[in-house]
This record gives sequence, C-alpha cells and structure tokens, in this order.
Amino acid sequence: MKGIDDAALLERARRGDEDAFSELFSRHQRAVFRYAVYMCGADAADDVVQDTFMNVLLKSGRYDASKGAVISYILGTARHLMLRRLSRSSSIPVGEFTEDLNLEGSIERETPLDDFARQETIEVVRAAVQSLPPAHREVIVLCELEEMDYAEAANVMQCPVGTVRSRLNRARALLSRKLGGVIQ
Amino acid sequence: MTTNDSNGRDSKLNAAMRALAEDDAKLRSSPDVEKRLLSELRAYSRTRRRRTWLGVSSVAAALLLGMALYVWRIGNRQPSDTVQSPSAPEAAITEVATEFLPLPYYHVPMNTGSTVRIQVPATALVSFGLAPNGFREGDGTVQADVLVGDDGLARAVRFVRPLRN
Repeated sequence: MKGIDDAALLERARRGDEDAFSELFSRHQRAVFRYAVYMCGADAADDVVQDTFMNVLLKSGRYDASKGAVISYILGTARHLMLRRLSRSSSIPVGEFTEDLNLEGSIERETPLDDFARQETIEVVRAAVQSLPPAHREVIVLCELEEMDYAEAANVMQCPVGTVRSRLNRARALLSRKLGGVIQ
Repeated sequence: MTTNDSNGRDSKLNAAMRALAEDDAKLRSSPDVEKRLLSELRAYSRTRRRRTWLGVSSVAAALLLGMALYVWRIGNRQPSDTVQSPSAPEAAITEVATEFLPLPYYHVPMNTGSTVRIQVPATALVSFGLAPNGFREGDGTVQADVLVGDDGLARAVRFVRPLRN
C-alpha cells in the first residue's frame, strides 16, 4: 500500500478495501486532527476526524483530481464540517503574551530546564495561534504548520490565492504582535 | 520599526512556527476513531453488497417473468384459458395479493394492460424484499400476477398467497 498514490487509495477505500482505508487514514489523519484542534478545540477534534473520513468515504464521486490533491479534498471536507461547529461556538478571547522567552536560544540549549522553557514557549506560541480570529488561524495552520503552498491552501479554503496571501500576511502580523515578548 | 527589525521578527516567527509544527507532530486522533471508521466501512460495504445482490436478483426475476410470459404467449393463443383475473370475485375470496411492485419497464406508458398469472421460484419474492412464508407452494414456487401492457412489456408484478382453510 505504501507505493500507491492517495487517489488510488481513496478509490479502493470507497470500494470497501480496509487496508487502503487504513493507509489513507494513517497518511492524513494527523493533518485533519491538527486542523481540527486549532479550529474547533481538542475536545471536538476526534469527532471532526471521524466525520471527515466518513464523509470522504461515503460521498463517492465528489473527488475531482483536476481540482487538487486528495489531502486538499480531505481538508476541504474537514473545513466544511468545522464551519458548522465554528458558527455555533463563541469566539476565543484574544490574549496578549508578554512573557520574555527567547525561542531561538531555547531551541538550541539541551538541559531539562531549557527543554521545559522551550515547551513553555511552544505553548505560548500555540495559544497565540489559537487566539487568532478563525480566518487568520486557519491560514496559519494550513500555510505555516501544514506547509501548504498558497494554491493548495486556496483550494481548501475555497478562496482566491491573493486572499490567502493577504490573510497570511495579516495573520503573521497579528501573531508577531501577540508574541512580542517571545520573539523580539 | 526598521527593515532589520522586521526581518529579525519574521525569522523568529518562522522559527516559532517550525518549533510549533515539530511539536504538533505528536498530535494524532484517538485509536478508537480508526476502529469506528473501519467498522462503519464494513457495515457500509455489507449494505452495498446486499443492495447490489437485490438489484441483480430483481433483474433476474424480471427476466424470468419476461421469459415465462414469452413462453406463454407463444404456446397459448387463447389467453382466456390460462389468464385469470385476480380481481374476479372468486379469486378475491380464495387468495390475497401484495401491491403491484414495479418492474424495469414500469415507467413506459401503456394504453391498456392485463394481468397474467404465472408461477415463479420463491427467490423472486425474496428479491423484492418480501418473505416467502405463506406464499410458497409445495414445489417451492409462488404464484404471481404480471401486469403486461398492450406492447407486451411487463410493467409490474404482484405475488399471490392462496387462502387455505
């Protein structure tokens, strides 16, 4: 199964091939899970992963290879499901972070105390990402954490590439401001 | 803010994002999610196989009925000898029938039609999702009325259960 591309795996999984499904799931569940954690919270992430893969498996005929990679299709499906949840939930309060932690330095040091500091810094960064407005949080998750290019992210977000670019710039500016004490 | 300040902050933000992405590598859904999905996939595959089997069986039953009708039309030029009207008073007293169930040509318009009584294997009844209990004759067949249009195409079938005292 390792050498089979995603599209073929999806096709086989839809025909009931459990090995193909497991391989597809193992390749992409983490991306969906992370996307869900940032957009809906950790409590809902398992449900989002399950609903997303159910949807992808049972709604046959919707994947169009000419419109993008399977991962874009899967994340697009996840996005559609999460939008419903986001529309029901209240917005996360925006917080400011002022702790004076040096990320670069802490990554390079190796003592247990520094590991702790590094982990603490990462949690601060994670919280900053989670405190962004949903549209900006989403573009950070897709472009920065998933390392998707603008076109792939635009495919998932169903918007023009220019919107992805400008939203990412804005999101990075917001993050820089929130993390002022951490990354200066 | 100078350009150098801005570049420095950008590279530190990039480093922060990389560190976060690396740390996120440990994120994964619960193992139960995959188990539940596999279970759903199995159930879905079973349902689909059953649906396919029913579809094939329905077509086979329709073909069987069509062949029976063809044999009857070729071999018997006096329908009144073999054709019974289930709506006749005596039939209504001695038997009960299901609703007419559509066959593949049910949507083709017809001017007039008539019913033809034939015997088919009990599996034909099962292929329509009906239980053969009570319908089955001693030889494993069931009686059916086929609604045939004036163009010779079978439109629908109903299964007949004799009333036994």
